[in-house]
Order: sequence, then structure tokens, then C-alpha cells
Amino acid sequence: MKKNAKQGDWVKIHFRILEPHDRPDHIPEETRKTPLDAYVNGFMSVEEAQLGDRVSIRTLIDREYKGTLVEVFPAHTHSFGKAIPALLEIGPKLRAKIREGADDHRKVQ
Amino acid sequence: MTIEKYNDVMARKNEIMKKAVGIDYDRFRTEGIAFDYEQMMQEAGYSIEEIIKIQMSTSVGNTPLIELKNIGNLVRRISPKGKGARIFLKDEACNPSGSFKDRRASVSVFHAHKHGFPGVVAATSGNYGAAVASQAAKYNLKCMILQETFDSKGVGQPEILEKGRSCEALGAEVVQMTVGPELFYYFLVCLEETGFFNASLYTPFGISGIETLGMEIATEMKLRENRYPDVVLVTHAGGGNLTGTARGLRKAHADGTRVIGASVDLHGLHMASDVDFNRKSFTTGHTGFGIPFAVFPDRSDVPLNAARPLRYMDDYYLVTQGEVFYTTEMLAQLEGLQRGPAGNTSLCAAIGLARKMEKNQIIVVQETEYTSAGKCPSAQLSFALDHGIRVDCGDPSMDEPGNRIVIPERTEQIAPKKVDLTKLRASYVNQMVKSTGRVDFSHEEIRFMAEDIRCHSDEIKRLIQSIKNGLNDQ
Repeated sequence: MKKNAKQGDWVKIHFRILEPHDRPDHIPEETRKTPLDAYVNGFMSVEEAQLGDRVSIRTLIDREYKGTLVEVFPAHTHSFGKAIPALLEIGPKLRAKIREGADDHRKVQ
Repeated sequence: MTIEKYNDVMARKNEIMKKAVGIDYDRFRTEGIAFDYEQMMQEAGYSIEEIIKIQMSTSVGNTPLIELKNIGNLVRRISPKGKGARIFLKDEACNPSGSFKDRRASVSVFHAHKHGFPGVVAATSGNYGAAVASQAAKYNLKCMILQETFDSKGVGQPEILEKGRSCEALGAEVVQMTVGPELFYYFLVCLEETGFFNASLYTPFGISGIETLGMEIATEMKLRENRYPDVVLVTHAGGGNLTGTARGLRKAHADGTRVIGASVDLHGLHMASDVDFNRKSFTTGHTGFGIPFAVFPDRSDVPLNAARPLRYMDDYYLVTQGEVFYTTEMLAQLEGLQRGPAGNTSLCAAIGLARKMEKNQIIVVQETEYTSAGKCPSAQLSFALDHGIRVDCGDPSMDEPGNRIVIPERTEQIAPKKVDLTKLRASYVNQMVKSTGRVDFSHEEIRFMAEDIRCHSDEIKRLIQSIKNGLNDQ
């Protein structure tokens, strides 16, 4: 993973919105113990920075944010996943059933 | 950017919202909790003719209505003799950003553009974000989307990561937050700072944008089959989908068509819990929104919610996560349509209901959504497995949200569970008592409630009395 960024690089930053003690009473305890954090992508405004540095960025709509540099040229991590055995036979079984139905229909005729 | 203390901002929420939505909601209030809903929809909404024009100009709507012949034939084969209704699908995935949400966004963004707002903001982790971003691109307006994406460990829900990617690809600034209802607080901060329009899901123009969906279903069915559908099945979460579709059907004179809501059953999972957040495989179209928004619509970001599902819902069914994943595979391999799982919630319910209906009856499944990395069965189930959720085949009624997903082995096992609407109505009245802090309501307020949840005023009075009795017993 790239550790350094220069001005104009597309980066992801983190910033904190609420510390745990600022969070309201009505939310579940397990959530209340954690901070409310945010992440946003943008073009780095400062000349140079390393992961962990405080930087400012300009987003796709040209708004400025300040936060901690957490990723340089952030990648998409979601995928189509692994093959799931429980799903794999659904289609073939149903199609066989339809073919069987079509065959029965032909026999009747 | 200065982050103000939570309570200070929340205290200003009405003032912030008024500027950002441009509606004086107090105009529609009549007495206490009562307001003139139809007046609000007429005056603050757009007429159906205006909406059709708006949507045509940004290529929204007029989506295909497809008869699912293979699924229909299969359903008839596994149903008692004479049963097995025909199933049609409204392929809303064909909209520009891949879901029916484009209909809502088209009117909201048009409205923002018309009133000279420099940009639009939406707080949504769902398809609505991409819809708003797509429409904003067409009008060259700036767009900001706020999402609840991660748990406290920074693990993102794959469905929401995909939606974030989509919004960014469409040119929006996307702020992705960790779990918590304070997303609304930060949303207020952003509205105040940017002066952007709140493209809320719950404004009259947003809801009226969906009316064309109902109208298209009714009109095309009449043209093709010389009749209106017997049932239209609508995935229900926040209530806008159902409200808008039902209103559209009525405007097209499909008065006999039953409007049935369907949600994925996520009972037991708390929507604001850091622990439960990544233990669900559906982030939309589920009971975590469906039940709260049915029984207390005005929990929305705007003071008076235009989405009022109990006003229009004839019935409400729940399906399991496993049943919807199975249905998604069915749709792909029997009809050649790869579509996202959440958008198949109502198709899943339709398959179960069709088996109990007559074979000459017609069900229309009112939507589909696009599919992609992160929002397809293999992605969502891989994520579930990685989080210790058991995934196996068997009886789907053994599904335990947060712990176990059971994929049916046979289509016959899909068995939607009917929700008792009388219980929801009782909860609605209970919520009115809670939110107002009183148990005495005027004649006008009682009349409003009766209209809002489709029952007689006497029933409202009876429900209020039983709450009073309950309080007296304490």
C-alpha cells in the first residue's frame, strides 16, 4: 500500500464527528462506547504527506475537509464474493424441474 | 469545519430543515397532530402531468413490465389445482441509476434546480444516493451523500460500499460514517454549512415522483390484459415506495388493486447497534425501517412525512433473508434477469402469495434493482460467513437474523408471514400518545388518525381507551 501522497493525489481521510462522551443517551450502549467517525475521499491540497499525517483535501464538489490521511489512491474492497455452495444448485435444479414439466406436457399430448 | 455540540444543532433542526426543504409545514397543520395530507401533497407536490414531463426530460420511468413466464409456470406446477397467479415484474433497474429511486430523485432535484439551490444533499445508505447523484449530474448541481457505512472497527457493509462507489462515480462527494443515528445531526451540520437542498426521501415531491410507477403499472396492464392487476407487491421500508405506488394506482383508476407491502424480516437486530450492524445481509427493504416507519411516519427528517404506508397498505408480509437470496437466483437462472437481492424482496413474497391465488389472477411485482459487486447473493453471503453467520440449506423458517441464514431447498418452502395490521395500528396510536405526552385527543385529531391508518374513529377511541386503562393499572 502506498504510504506517501503528493498534492493532487486522490486520497481518503478520516475525521471524528463525535467523541463517545458527546453521543446521546438513547443509543445502544455498545455504540455509545465508540466514537462517531467519518471518511471522505478527495484531492490532497498539501504538498506532501505520509499516512497518519493531518492533511486537507478538496472533494469532487470542491469542498474542503481536514483529517488524517488513511489511504492513498483508495481501492474498492467490495467484490462479488466467494462461490456459495447453498446457492449453486438452485438454478440447475429449477431448470431441470421446468424441463421435466415440459416433457410431461409433451407426453400428455 | 467546526463541529458544534450535538444538542445545539439538534435544537435548530426545524429552522435548518425549513430553509433546506423550502416547505412551511405549519401551513398544513389543522389541529394538534392532525394535518391536511391531501392539501400538502397537492400544494407542495407536483401534478402527475408535471412529474411525467420532469421524468421524461431525465430519462426516468417507462420501464418494462415483464411477465415472468417460467417462474409463473413453475409456481402453477407446485400449487393446488387452479391456483398459481401470473407474475409480472416492473423492471425499475432500467432507470438511469438502477432503481425506482430515480423517480423520487428526479422530482427532488428538479425542485432544487428550479429554486436555485447550488446543490443537493441526501442522507442515505441505499439506492437513493446514486439516484440523487445521477439526477444532480444531469442538472449540473453539486451533490453530497451521507452514508452510514462502517461499524466501529471500520468494516463496511458490501452493499453500502457499492452504493458509495456508485455515488462517487456519478460525481458526488460521499461522506461515509460509522454506525449511529447521529447521521441526522451531521446531516443538519452539512445542510447549514452548504446551503444545499435537502433531497429528503420524505417530501411531497419525492413521494409524488413515485406515483408514475403506479400509473404505468395500471395503464400498461389495462392495455395488455384489459384489466388492472389484482395485487401489486411493494417492498416496504420507509413507506415512500408503497405510498407513491398506491397513489399512482388510484390516480389511474385501479381502485380494486390490492397494495401489499413486503419486507425482509430482521427481527431481533437493533439498527443502531455497533454489534448488530454487520450481522445483517440486507441494508434496506427490511423490518428495521418497515415497522418503525409504519407506526410512526413522522420520525422522518422532515416534520410531516409524505410517506404514510398505513394509509394505503392492504396487507403486509415478511420474508426471510434466505428466501430472498433463493428468489434472486431463480430470477437470474429462470428468467435471465440478474438483479440485486434487496430489489427482489417483493418478488419473493409474490412467489409465496401467487400459490394461494387463482391462476387467472395477476400479481405485479413493482420493482427490481441493479446488481453489482457488494450487492449480489454471493457477495452478501460471503460477508455473512466471514462474520460468523451460519449459511446453510433447509427450512427457511429456521432463519435467525444475525446468526443463521437458511436458503430454501425447494420453491414450495417460500412462505411469507402475514403481519397483523391491527397490531401495527395499535402501535401507531401508542406512538401518538408517547410523542405528544397526552392521552386526550380532539375530534379532529381522532379523525386524522383514523384516516391515517384506515380504520374507524371508534377504533381509535377504543385504542386510546385501552392505553388509558393500561396507564391507570400502573
